[in-house]
Amino acid sequence: MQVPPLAPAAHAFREDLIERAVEAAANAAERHLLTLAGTSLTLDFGTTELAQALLPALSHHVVAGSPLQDLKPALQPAGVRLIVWSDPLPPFPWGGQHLGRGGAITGLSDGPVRAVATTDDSSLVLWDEHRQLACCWFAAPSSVTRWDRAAPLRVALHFALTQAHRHLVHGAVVGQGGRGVLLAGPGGSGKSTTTLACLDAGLDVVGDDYAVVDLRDEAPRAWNLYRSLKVGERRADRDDRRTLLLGADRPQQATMYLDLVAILLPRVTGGARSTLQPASRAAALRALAPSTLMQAPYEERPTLGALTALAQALPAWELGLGEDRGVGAITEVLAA
Amino acid sequence: MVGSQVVHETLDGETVVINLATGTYFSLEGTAAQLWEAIVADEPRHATAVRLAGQHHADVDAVLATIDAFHAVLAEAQLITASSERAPDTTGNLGTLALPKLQAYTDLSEHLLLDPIHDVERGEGWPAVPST
Repeated sequence: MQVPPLAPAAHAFREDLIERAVEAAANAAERHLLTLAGTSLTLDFGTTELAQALLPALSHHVVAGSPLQDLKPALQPAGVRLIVWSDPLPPFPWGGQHLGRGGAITGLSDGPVRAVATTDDSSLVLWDEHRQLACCWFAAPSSVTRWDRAAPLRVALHFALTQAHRHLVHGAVVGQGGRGVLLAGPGGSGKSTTTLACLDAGLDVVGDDYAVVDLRDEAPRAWNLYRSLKVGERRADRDDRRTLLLGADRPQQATMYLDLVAILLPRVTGGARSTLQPASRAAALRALAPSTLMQAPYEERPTLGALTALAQALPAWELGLGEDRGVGAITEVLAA
Repeated sequence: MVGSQVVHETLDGETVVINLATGTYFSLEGTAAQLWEAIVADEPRHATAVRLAGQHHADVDAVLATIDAFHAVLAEAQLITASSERAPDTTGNLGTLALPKLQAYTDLSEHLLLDPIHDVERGEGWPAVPST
């Protein structure tokens, strides 16, 4: 289907949005400095309500001494800046037909500036690579979904971390003694259940759904992103899904990073004990890549490069999840 | 020609292909992986057929028909943008050449195509399926 071109004013609108975001940041209700996956970020919230909705799952990354609103601009740290605000905006110069996969705005997601929006105009994200700036707009604090609260600012953080050579991967990471395993697989494969069982067994948890992988050192390192854990499930007769925050709803803290030693491909088998079978690197890539890439913002020329490197760097195992929820098998892999 | 939203990688003889537009991903091994590599290398169909026929003691026309049939399957899966218009007829001597198979995985498609931006229930989030 041929997408009608955007009005020429759309690019000016995009620039205007960035100016509005910067202006909102100048009057930010809250400003926080975060160190996330070894990267410094400044996070400005236009209103306290937005901060209350979006900061909890990220608050463990806040550097002591924040908020920084008392600092003069010249004294504020350099690095990536995220601005979250909800001031009213003029009507958007694009329509639903301009939104591609993941909400990428066709014609405005080119070059160093990327634009992602929702069809109902309730939120949008602009990433400006040159300015190292992510502008995250919500129509109102009520536009923040439960998903946004559990995994806040994911698109903006994807852009910010990717330019810092860190890769947002869809998978759970658990471990102990500084060593970790990456659990990769689709929703329902058992990642969250296994993560919770490992947490209860005293293992370290980096994340149950996302991790930030750095491939620059000899051993791939998985960094924590969110401190949220998804528990419960939705069935025909009930829905008890909820989000827990480590360090708040559970006493255990999220582990900031683990060096990965293996990729595990969980699958619920129903036996008494969990089992391990060697898996091919291609199988690891099949488990890792589809959901990671499909959740990533649209790229004109997507690649498997980083995920291939990860699959090549680590041995892979099929983890047949039994009633013990994989804890023993995971401990065995970590000790090998 | 490989589609712009198709990504692929070969590890240990297995080629993993993901169609980001449809959410379906694929595994190609053996002959299928060889034919995919030929597409990626932009090798002319006839040259591929001659090469494989020589390796497998097969008739070139039979191999060419097999290639065309496989390309048609790849095109239907929206993995390649061009396919031969020749009617595939895979009868003939293929020697030791195994027929190519495309293993498709659609288990993720439903959730993956629930766009985390668009397909969220307010207050629920992805991957909650909208009720309407």
